[in-house]
Amino acid sequence: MNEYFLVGSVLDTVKDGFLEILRGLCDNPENKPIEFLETEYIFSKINPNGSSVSLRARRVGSPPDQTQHCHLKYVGGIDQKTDKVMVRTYNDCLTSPNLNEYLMALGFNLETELIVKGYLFHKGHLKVVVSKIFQPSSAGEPQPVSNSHLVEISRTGPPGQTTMGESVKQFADLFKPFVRMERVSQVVEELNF
Amino acid sequence: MPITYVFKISIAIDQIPQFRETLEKRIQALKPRQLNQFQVQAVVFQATNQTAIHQYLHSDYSSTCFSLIEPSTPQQEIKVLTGDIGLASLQRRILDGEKKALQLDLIGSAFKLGDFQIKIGTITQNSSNRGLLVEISYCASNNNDAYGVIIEFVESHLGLSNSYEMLSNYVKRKAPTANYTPEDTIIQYYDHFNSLRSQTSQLRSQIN
Repeated sequence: MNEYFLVGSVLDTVKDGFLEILRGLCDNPENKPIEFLETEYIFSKINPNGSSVSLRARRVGSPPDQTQHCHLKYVGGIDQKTDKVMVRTYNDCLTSPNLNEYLMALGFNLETELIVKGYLFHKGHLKVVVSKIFQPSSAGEPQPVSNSHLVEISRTGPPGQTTMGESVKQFADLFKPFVRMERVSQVVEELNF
Repeated sequence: MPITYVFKISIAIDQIPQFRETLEKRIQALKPRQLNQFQVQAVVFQATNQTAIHQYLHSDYSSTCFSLIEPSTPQQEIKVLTGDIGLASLQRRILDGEKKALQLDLIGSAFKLGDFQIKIGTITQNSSNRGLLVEISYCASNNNDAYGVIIEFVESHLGLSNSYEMLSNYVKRKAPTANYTPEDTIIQYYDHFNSLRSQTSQLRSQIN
């Protein structure tokens, strides 16, 4: 399975206006957007053949809530050949709450822990997520990583589907001039994260 | 949630088909409702850090994949991760570079008789028989009630004596008041499949 996606950002000060626009553009505008608060754990491991594997585990709620089910996601490197949208390999599944313990037993190391708070919208098969990323701190309140919200449009499907990439790009163009959803190089993306 | 016990029938490999037929005839004599064929698949991956990862698929939980990490010492608990069927393909990503050690399959017939579900199946490895398992599920309110009823069913209707010995060590250790979940069924399969693997390796060492 591949993920066709684009990312952008919107300043915190204009986020509310952008959410209203998204409500109008996406399905079920009469409903409020789905709000979520999740903790994301990024695990990595070096395999015997030398390659490294990185996995993202998400849990509903912020620590110390450990009772909810987890979401495990594998995303591959971004395919540099595509021009309109970014494409990467994508596998995911829902798991029982003991996911972190399981990954640690497999030899994975916890690299980063982030708290993600945001809104989820749907437009057909497209998924739009507007989220703010926080760094957990031992002193209490989590600290925001930046003064903006991350905007992500994505769609999953079989590899080589150019129409899927086009649908992502077309919908992303509707966000202009509020948010520029562009294809960024992996280096810039890593710097932003 | 029905309580499920898995019994391993100790029998010579060449007698497995005949004995399975006998057990099925005994159940059919009670005029049960025949259910679809059931299947359990176990794939064992051998990780480089000496731990083995077992992936189980059970036809009763067709959208679920169970992944077990074999404990390095007998005192440690078995870690079971339950995920949707996507976990099976994700596991290949997680275990990239680890070798697939073996695959065991269990295929058999299933029957429903009142509150009981009876499954009789043959374990195969590379299409050769390895063992015979009987899975009995009973809708009970707690394990204390189920244990006696299931043992009585096995002894009276299937005609199997010393049924306690056929249970896995996991069930023998489990507290009688504890709840039963699908993970417990899978751990029982894991115990029985592991005992078959150790029997096979013992036989090999005796031959050598």
